[in-house]
This record gives sequence, C-alpha cells and structure tokens, in this order.
Amino acid sequence: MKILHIDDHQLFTEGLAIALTSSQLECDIHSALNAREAFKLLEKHHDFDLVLLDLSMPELEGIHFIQGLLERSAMLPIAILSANEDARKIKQALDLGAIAFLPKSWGTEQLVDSLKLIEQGNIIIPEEIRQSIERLPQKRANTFENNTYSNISKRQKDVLLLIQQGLSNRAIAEVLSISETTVKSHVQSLFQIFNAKNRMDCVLKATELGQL
Amino acid sequence: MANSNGFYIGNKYDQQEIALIANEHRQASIILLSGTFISQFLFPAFVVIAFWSSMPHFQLLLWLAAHYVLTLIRIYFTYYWYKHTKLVSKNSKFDRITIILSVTQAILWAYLILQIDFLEYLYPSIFLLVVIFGHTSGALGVGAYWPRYYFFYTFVLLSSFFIFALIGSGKPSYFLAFAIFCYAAFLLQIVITFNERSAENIVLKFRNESLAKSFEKQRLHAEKLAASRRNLLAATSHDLRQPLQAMNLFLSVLNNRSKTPENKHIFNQLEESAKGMGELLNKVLDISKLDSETVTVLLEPVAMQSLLDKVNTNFRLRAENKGLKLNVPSSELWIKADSVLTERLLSNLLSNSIRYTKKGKIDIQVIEKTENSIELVISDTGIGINSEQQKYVFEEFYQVNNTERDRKKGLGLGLSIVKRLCDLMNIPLTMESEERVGTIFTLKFPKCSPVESYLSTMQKKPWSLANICIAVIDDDESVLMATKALLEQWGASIIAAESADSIIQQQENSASNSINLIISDYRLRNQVTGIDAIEAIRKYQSTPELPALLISGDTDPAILRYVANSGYTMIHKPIKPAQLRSIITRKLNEKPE
Repeated sequence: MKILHIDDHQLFTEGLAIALTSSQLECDIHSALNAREAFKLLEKHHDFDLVLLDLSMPELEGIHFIQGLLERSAMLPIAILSANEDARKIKQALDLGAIAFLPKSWGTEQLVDSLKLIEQGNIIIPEEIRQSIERLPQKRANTFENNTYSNISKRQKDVLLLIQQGLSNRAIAEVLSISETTVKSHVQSLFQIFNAKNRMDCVLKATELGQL
Repeated sequence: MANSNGFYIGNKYDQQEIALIANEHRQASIILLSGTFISQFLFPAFVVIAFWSSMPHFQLLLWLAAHYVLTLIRIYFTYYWYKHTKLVSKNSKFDRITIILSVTQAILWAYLILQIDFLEYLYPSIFLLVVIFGHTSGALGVGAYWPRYYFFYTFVLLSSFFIFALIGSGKPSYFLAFAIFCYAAFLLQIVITFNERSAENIVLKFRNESLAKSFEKQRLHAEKLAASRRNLLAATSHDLRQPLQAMNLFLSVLNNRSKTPENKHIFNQLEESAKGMGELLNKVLDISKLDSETVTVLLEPVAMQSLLDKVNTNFRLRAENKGLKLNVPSSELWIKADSVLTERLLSNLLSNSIRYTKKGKIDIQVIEKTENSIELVISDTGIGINSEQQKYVFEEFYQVNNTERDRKKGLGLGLSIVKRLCDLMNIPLTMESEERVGTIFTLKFPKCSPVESYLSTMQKKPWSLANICIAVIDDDESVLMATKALLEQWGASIIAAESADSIIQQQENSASNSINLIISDYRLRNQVTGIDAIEAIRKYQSTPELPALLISGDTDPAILRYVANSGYTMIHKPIKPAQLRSIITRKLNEKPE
C-alpha cells in the first residue's frame, strides 16, 4: 500500500512513518510537510493508493488541498488523519470524497486496522464524529450544494469561495492549478461584477446578493 | 507634629500624600491670596481718607505709596514670577518673599496703630480697628492652607495692637491686652483645625480615587488573564496534542522492539505516563473548548432511556469491578437536552461517583417532578464532601482529600466540566452531601413529549450508501458480479446488467427505486460504448445530470482524451475498492453543474 502522508508537524510524520513501516501492514509511506511538496510527490509517483491528510495546516488547509487534487483530476482516495475534530470541516471533506476520518489520538494498531479496511473500500468514521455530523444544522452544511450560478461563471464562483476563505491570489492559483495571472483576471472581473473596492468588500457584496 | 507647611500629622500620611497636600494647599492659598489684592488697594486708601485731617498729609501719602508698591511687587511675584519660573526652589523662594512682603505690609499697619492717638481721633481709630480685625479674620481662609503665612502676618498685626494696649495710651490696659491675647489664641485654634481638616479631605479624596483606579486595574487584569488563559488553550489545543500523538506512535514501535522483561517494564511505565498525560490534556482542552464558547448546543428531544442505556453499558462493569451496586431504572420519559453533551455530563458525574465510593451502591432515579420538569438523581454512598469543601468542588483541579495529588484519584476536572456543561445547556444542578454518608447530584431537565421519527430529519450522511441505487453495466459476467458484490457489501442496492437496455427493462418490470448512479464499462458489446449506455439511462429516467462513471482497461490515449473531453469521469481497471468508494462518494455528493 503506497501512502502519501501530508502533515505540517514533522515529528508526527516521522512517527507515523516509523510506526506504519514497522507494523504488519505492508506499506510504502511518503511524507510531505505542505501542499507544494505533496503536489511534487504526486507528479513524481503516479501509483499512490491513499492520501492521508491533516485538515489544519498553516499554509493551505486540507479542504483546499482536496479541492486542488480534484482540479487536477487526481482520483486518489483520501483519508483525513487529523487532530481537528470540527464536524463541519470533516463533513466538507467527506462531501468532497474523503472516505475516512482517523483521529490522531488513535494508536498504531487501530490505525493499521483502519487502513486495511479503507483499502477494501470501507468508510471509517468514529461514531462520535458521525453523530456530530448528523447533528450539524442542515442549512450551513449544505451551502456547498445550494449554490446558484446565475450571474457568475463556475470558475469565478470557485475563485470567490477561495477569496472568502482568505486565500491569496497565489494560493488560489495553487488550489485551482491555474496561473496566478488567470486568478488575477478572475478577481478583477469579480470586482467589476460586484462593484467592489477590495477583496473584503467583494465577499460582503457577494454575500448580500446571495452569491455566497 | 507640625509639618513645615502645616499641621497635618506626619505619620498619618506617607511621603507622597504629604507632597500632595502641600501642593493642593499651595494652589488653594495662591488663589485666595490673589483674591485679597483688591482689598490691598482699597482699604489703605480708605484709611488714608479717614486719617486725612488727623495726620500729616505727606506721611499718609508716603504710607499709601509704600503699601501700593509692596502690593504691586506681590502681584508681580504671584502672577508673573511664580507662574513662569522653572527654578527647583521656586516654591520656597516664593513662600519667603511673600511672607517678607506681607509682614512688611503688616508693619505698615502696625506703624499706624502706634502713631495715632486713639482717644483724640476716635472715628479714624475705630475705622482702623475694624480694618485690622477684618484683616486678621479675613486671612483665616489663607491660613487654613498656609498657616505659616498667617502666623507671621497676624502676629505682627496683633502684637502691635497688644503693645499699644500696654503702652500706647498713657495708662496700660491689661484687660484689653488679655482680650487680644485670647482673640489671637482663638484664631490660632481655628487655623490649626481648618488646616488638619483640609489635609484630611485631600488625602481621603486621593485615596478613594487611587483605590478605584487600582480596583479597576485589577479587574481588567484579572479579566485579561482569564481571557488569555482561555484563548491560549483554545488556540494551542491543536498543536499541544501533536507531540503527544507522535510520541504514542514512537512508543508503539518501541513496544515491538523491546523484548527483555526489564525493558517491557520500563515501557509499560512509559506508556502509563503518556496515557496520563493524554488524559489530562484532553480534559484541559475539553474545559477550554467549553470556555471558549465554540461548543454549539443543540437542544432536542432525547429519550431518557437512551441515556440510561449508555450509562449501563459504560459504567456497569466498572462499578461491579469495584464491588459496587449500580441501580439504573428504566424510563419512558423524554427530555429536552443536547444528547451528546448530556451523555458527557452523566459520564463525568458517574465516573466521579464511582471513584469516590469505596463500598455500597450508586442509585439513579428519574422523577417526574412537575408537569414540565424531570429530575435525574444520582446518589452514592461514597466519602461525601463536608460543607466547607462543597463550595470548591466545582472549581478546576479541586479535589477533596487529595492534597498529595495522587493521579489514581483522578484529575479533579470532572466536576468543573459538569458545571460548565450544565451552564451551557441551562440545566440546574444541585448537590447535597454529607461526609462519610454520600453525595446526591440532582439535574433538572425540561420535559418534552416523545418524538417518533426525528431521526428522519437528520443530516444526510455522506458515508452511507443505504437507499442508494446503482446501475452497473459490464459485458464481462465475472467483473459484473464482482463489482455488484463489492457495492452491495457497502450497503447500496444494485441493478446489474450487460447493457443499458437490460437495465431499463429490469427497472420497468420491478418498479423499484430510481437509479442514483451509473457505473459502466467503457467497451460494451456491439460497438456500444459506456457513454451511450449512460446517456440511454439518463434519457430513460429524464435525469440528464445523473452521476455516472466509466471504467476501462483501455490505455489508448485517443480514447482517454475523448472521454475526458466529453466530461465523463473514467477510472482504470483493475479497480481499487478505496478509489471506487471515494469516487462514488464524491459523485453522489457533487453539486450538479
């Protein structure tokens, strides 16, 4: 099982690598400390079986990384391995096709067992997390699904969503795997559409008009 | 003990306060002195007019001129020199000059007293007396703030009068001299009292102000501390856990490598420590989460029985291992609460009860108290808490009788978590306890009517394939069956066939659920492609955006490009289950474009 592990805590990536390689799970684990390293590894190796991803990373959040993977049409199964247990974020990740949430507090044995089950296509989510996702207020969790693309193109919408999440042009370019110049032109046309002075204003006006 | 400037008592006030009084007094006395300047011009003039016919004019005019010159010098000193001088010693210099100048003026008055023959010139004499006595009482105001000035000034005026009484008019009048002496003593008494009082007022006002200020400062400081403690923990909770989690991974590797019993022993100790650290960290982070108001409370109908069942499964064994009896009733009642938070609340209370009960039992009772409230009572026969300690048990890290902080007795965070949870959900909690008898906790929940089908309104579950119907199309029988088996294992219902027509036929015959997803092989029989099959089903169901995926063993770049350009998702054989599951989940949750 060839695994790509992405986590900004080096101590943890090293620990996981040692723990998994010395377990009975036959695996080849590659670690990346940020999205850029991860994308580099993905270009080099085309045969990863699974991506293990931390949700909260300082540069590029896990969710954006998944979006970036989808933009590159990489159809890799993703399992979240994170200490962050915010149900809303986990739900977002699952909606984007993540098939597992593994808490970092789990021991090696539990992780190994779960990885085996994941390999067979099972979805692994701890019971408490399932419950808290079920209990999420409907509306907020579904914002991704209720979008109407009346006035702006899908691409502009993507850019707008990423602006809302506070990403810089460069980070947006990275997520959507397009050039920074293209992002700039999208941002410019968004500014014109919403008659916005700056990014903040743009998000506010888009929200007012029901575009966000 | 008189201070150099006043009569306020030295050891009653500290250095700073004495300086403050001196400064306040100086300000006040300067204002009052400025007020007397007009009278310094008017009264000498009146006296000169009154004396005009009884004394040589030249002498009178010279006297008046001397008065005016002195007053002008004083005005200069007060209004100009004092305000614009930056000398360090300007205060004492100003004091000295002002006293010298006013004493000189007092001597001028005294000169008149000793000059005039009182008996012969009765009218001007009475006029003079009124003016001088007026001066001595009028200056009392200044005296209250600047006693020294007043002493010098009044001493000169009254002593000249005293001398006059003894030797001024032929035969000495001892009685008059005595009366003047008494008058002087009386004035002295007033000045001292005024001086002390005003000093006291100034200091009281100052102390009040600084007290209020320091209180406000302390309050802000305490608030800031509390907030920063909360924020620190909430902000760092993620990073705090990382090294510990890494350590656990390293530990598990070490465990497999350490074979000698000696190492095993050390390893077990190490693992125990890591576990303890993890527990403590989690509790602390729980509290910080509850404090940072990031926990959302969802009040919903909860079956009491579901909570009681959880208690039974989680605590029966633990209680029985300790030789305790755990009595959990059954209940048909429903309450309005947050089910997850209430579970945590109960599990903290029960852990606590079991921990502090050595023998006996733990009883849970559900009592329908009023029409709309239900009480859940947990009583134990444990060590109890005396009334003095009852105040503190809900505070963090407080433990009854655990000053040595034996960790086996727990962390002392359970009840503080309980309190926060109750506050969050607005559930009243009461505790009754008696030492060596036991403790009773009572929770008061709002009652609510039973709800049957609230489960159906819950959030869509992205992980579940239940109620999902997938059409699988493959012309290879064995692949078709394998795919079907895999998908069924995940809980989906499957319609499998070797062509789209066959799928449509099955749908028509069985009138089953409509199809949610199509998975089709790319190359089907008779030159039909998977794309054709997908479109046929989409058309049949009139769902043009029905999610679909293609599976192919093809590696022909032309085909791959063609498929990609037509907007279909294609995965390659052999199918890896995890990848298939991931793509299915994604497809089903994708927004239509």
